[in-house]
Amino acid sequence: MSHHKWQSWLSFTGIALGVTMVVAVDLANSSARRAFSLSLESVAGNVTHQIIGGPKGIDESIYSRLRRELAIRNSAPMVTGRVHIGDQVFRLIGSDPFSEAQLNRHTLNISRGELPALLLNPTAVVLSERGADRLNLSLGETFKIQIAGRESEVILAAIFSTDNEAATDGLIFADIAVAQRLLQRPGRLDRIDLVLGQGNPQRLLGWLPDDLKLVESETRNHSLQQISEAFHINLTAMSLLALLVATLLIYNTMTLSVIQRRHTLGIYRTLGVSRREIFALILSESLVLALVASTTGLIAGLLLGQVLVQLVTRTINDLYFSLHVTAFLIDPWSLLKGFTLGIVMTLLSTLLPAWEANRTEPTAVQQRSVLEEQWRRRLPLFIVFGLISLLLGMFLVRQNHDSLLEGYAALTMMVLGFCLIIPSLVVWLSRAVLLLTPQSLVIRMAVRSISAGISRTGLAVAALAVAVSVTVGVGVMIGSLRHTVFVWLEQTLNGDIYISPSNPNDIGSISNLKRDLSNVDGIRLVTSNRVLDIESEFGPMRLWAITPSGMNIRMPLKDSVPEATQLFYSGEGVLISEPLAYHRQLGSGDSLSLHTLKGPQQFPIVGVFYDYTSTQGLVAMQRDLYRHWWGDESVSGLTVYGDEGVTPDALLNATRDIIGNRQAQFQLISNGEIRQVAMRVFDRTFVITDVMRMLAVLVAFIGVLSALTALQLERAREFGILRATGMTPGQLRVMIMVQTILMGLIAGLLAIPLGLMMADVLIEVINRRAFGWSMQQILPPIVLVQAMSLALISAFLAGLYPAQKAATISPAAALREE
Amino acid sequence: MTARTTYLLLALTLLLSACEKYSGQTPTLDLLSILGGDETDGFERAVDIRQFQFPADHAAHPGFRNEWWYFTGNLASDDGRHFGYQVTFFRTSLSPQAHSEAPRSSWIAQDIWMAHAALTDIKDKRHQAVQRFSRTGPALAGAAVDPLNIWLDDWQVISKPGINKGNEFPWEVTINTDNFSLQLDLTPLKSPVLQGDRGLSQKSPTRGNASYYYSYSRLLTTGLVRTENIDHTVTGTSWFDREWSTSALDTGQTGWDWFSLQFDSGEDLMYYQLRDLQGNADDNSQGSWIDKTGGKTLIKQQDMQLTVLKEWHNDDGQAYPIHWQMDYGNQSWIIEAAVENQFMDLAVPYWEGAVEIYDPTSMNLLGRGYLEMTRVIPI
Repeated sequence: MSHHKWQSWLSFTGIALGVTMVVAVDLANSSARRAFSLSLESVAGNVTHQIIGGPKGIDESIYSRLRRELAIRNSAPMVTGRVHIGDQVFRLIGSDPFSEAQLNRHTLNISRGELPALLLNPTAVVLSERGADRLNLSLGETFKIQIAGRESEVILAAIFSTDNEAATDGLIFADIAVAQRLLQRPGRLDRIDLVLGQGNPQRLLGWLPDDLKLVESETRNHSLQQISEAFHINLTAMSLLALLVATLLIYNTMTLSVIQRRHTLGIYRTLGVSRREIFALILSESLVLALVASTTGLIAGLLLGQVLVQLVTRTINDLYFSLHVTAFLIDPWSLLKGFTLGIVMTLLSTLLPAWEANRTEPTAVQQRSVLEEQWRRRLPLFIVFGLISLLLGMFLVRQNHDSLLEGYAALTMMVLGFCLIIPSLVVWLSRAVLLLTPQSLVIRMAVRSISAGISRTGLAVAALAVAVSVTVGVGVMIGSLRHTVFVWLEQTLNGDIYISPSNPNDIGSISNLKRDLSNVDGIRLVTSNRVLDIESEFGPMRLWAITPSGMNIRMPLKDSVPEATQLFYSGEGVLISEPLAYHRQLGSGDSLSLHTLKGPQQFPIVGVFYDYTSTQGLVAMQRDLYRHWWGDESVSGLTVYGDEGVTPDALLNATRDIIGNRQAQFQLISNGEIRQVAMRVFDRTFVITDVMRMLAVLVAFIGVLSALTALQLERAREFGILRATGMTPGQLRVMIMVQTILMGLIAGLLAIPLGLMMADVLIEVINRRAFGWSMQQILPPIVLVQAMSLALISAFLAGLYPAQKAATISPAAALREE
Repeated sequence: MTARTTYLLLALTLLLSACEKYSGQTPTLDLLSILGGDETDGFERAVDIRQFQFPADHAAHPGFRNEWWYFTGNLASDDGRHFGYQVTFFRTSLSPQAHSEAPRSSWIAQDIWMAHAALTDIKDKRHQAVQRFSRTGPALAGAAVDPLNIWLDDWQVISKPGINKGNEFPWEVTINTDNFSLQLDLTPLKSPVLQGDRGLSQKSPTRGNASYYYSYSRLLTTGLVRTENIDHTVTGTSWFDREWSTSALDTGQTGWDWFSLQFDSGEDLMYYQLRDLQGNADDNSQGSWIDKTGGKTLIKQQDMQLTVLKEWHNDDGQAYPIHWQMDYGNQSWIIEAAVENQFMDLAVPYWEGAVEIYDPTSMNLLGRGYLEMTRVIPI
């Protein structure tokens, strides 16, 4: 009975790993979502509305007039910016404690430090207990912070304690006067938060100057949160895929466990144990297994979740918006979900074998051949159902919907359909192999037994093929995207050196530098651009204002009106990024409403460009057009173009010489470096996807190991007969190894078309719906090599133990049962 | 009226930590450290007799640490109801000099403003009080002349005619709160009275522990009082006090009782009694008697006898006398709170409310006034 123990262990591991995946991903997702809402809450609180300004922010006199003329006292001004302290990023919040008290929001409970100092000391900042600990700072200590590359010295004038540590983690507070000075934004506010009663919004709307926008904070927060929702759905889908693989395997092991005991069960039946009792026996056994395994999965999920949440938040930070909270929060709902799924999936996969064992006559239960016969008879039915599911999935996936979940449902149908066809394919393929193989009896026996035991081999191969196909599908998808981004960077980044000023408003020194650079030999052209977030009809959006130079719009347009480049240069239209076009169903010829200094304004869209920097949407605009509507002269960056034949190094040195002692004000990065950085960020973003892929493979590997091992162990009696009839231990070992490796090979071969199909859906459907990116499909050979190796190695490892076991079997002992 | 209720630093502490609703503790007020001599370096002091100039002195005096604009009054409506009101703007400096590191922000909180508004509905025995806080900039609160403008958000006092330089009477007081509103026009019936010694009001023997102090003891008041969504057209008389100082109290002085009384016969009386640790009258207590034409007589501590007849206790058990017998020279009055509970339960708590003046023998009503009482629990 030792192989029973083996098998229980393997099914246990399969279930536990499946639950681990679901729980870990769910926890990571819910933590990231919670982090998002905490990030918002800690800076937004209970506000109902926000006033948001244009590129220059809000003139602070608006705030005083709001209070004096409109008597809107439930209002608080805020100045905010990103701050680096060492290698850590914080968000500086400059607020007015008097207004905050009115809004009853930032409940900073100063636990240490002098309060008036916060108002009087021009460098005073406040940190939470945790923040101070993390930075290893004590009260009264001075330290350096960097804002937009500028360094300032501040003093930790107070430390506050809070009942919600997570919400204020990553925040550094200061009085609004201090923050305005540190951020070099005197006279300007970034935001006015409001708690408005009935009727007030209307009154305010009529009063507000055109360049300011009143937004409902709930709507805004919701639309912000929606941005990263696709990413969370993708992760969940991957964890569910892992669970699906796990379920297939659980089903396999449960079936085997029932079959193995058919003898015992047959005896029970002849002894008068009722069908119901046997059914109950099998179910309760698997329930115990499910409980133990799901609990283990839960604990492992908690541990893995802590690792995943780091990866998830990092990806969100890279791809979407900066979260200052990275807390790992244990959501009981996630735990319950994973646990229940583990139990339900195990019980469901036990039902069929239990029912089957139950249905058969006592004598028939004992005969394996009966079962195999039933299976073989069903194979054509499987093909029919499989094809229907596959075709239905393919049909659904072609439908022009925007729903990500629908895309996944279609993909699942396709995968399931393919799985149903796999047993028949296994039978055919092994027959084909039979035709090819030399007249070696051992090998022919090995091949034949694959189709003879199709009830189990079919499932094992299907499970292995699905697991491997995930590697292929995700691998091809990431490879394609990476390639696309790489080519795109090449086409888009055609400047040689990029310079960013630490203070975009310091127009004087920027234009001085621009002039100096233009006079250098070897520099053909210097252009300036402005990148900033603006308000649009679809919420916040990134705007890219560029100087027409004939150089920088060389990127290929996905879709455009006639003479698009001309229209763009003359400021008669804007270009929008592909994700924006996709998500908002916009195209060339449409128009987009942006909130300008003079209120909302429609801009005609003359083209759509490829963009992989942001899923949120990007609008490119001619600089003069931007100036006209936003009256902003600030410069976010300068682009230097070298003459033909000037080496990048020479150009870099020349530019460095010109910048000279202005290096504190200007950072420069070469084309090569920027590409490296971009690709590094890209790779970092997909670490989580890779981890998920590896985990799915691990689940599959354990499952396949379990299925194949059980399969061979179960044939102990058969092996006994073979040994008794003269097969040597060596021949038996070869036979078993050949059989499992062959199964691995078939699984690997089947995984490739399945994987490519999956990749196609992931690229053309899932990714487009989730991110709005289109990409060029490529097939990295390494992915195929990996897939085949994975299949073969799993099979090889799975064969080792049974081969060893069978070879050392005593024919007498094995036959004693007969 | 002495250094009134400027525990502003403490109020600020409360605000910043927003701990009112969390700790639930009643703060222990260390009045002496605020109104005492600790943090006075760099501020101007009320030491010498100065030349008062109007309307210039209605504006803020930023060199001094504490300053206030105090309006109180008794009003009667057409339908026979009586109201008491108080509107006060307080300014306190956190520092004699603002930091000036570039770039300069207009939010620099050199001065902190607090405003109180209260309405006593004598018929319904109801008293409501509201507070506000702000820093000065950008244009959130302040006190200026040319034109006259004393404000914190939309609470304001401005010159109603607003002609010439815009400082003329009547002044218009506008207060809007969730529960009541005031819209009052104030016209002085007497010239301003310089309190103490030509406006220098010594509060304790230490040099500099004094304030500059003047009063408009009687202003004709007309306008609207809105409470419980009903407008009442009112007329009556108000009292306007102006005072600024850097330090006032000495060790051993723990609070005060301040009276501003307006007699129907046309005379006015101001008297503040400073209290020592035992609750006895301090030698520096004083006041003034203002005759019908505005002529002033100084009232010294030995000329005045105050006897407590009845006390009211707040929730913390602190006693506030609400019936007094006042003996000044050969005159004697009973001073009685119009409503017992006129406790200002705010960040800086004190009792301030409308009082009625009675003849001790006939118990005839002789006039009305205001009474303020502060109590400091010594640490």
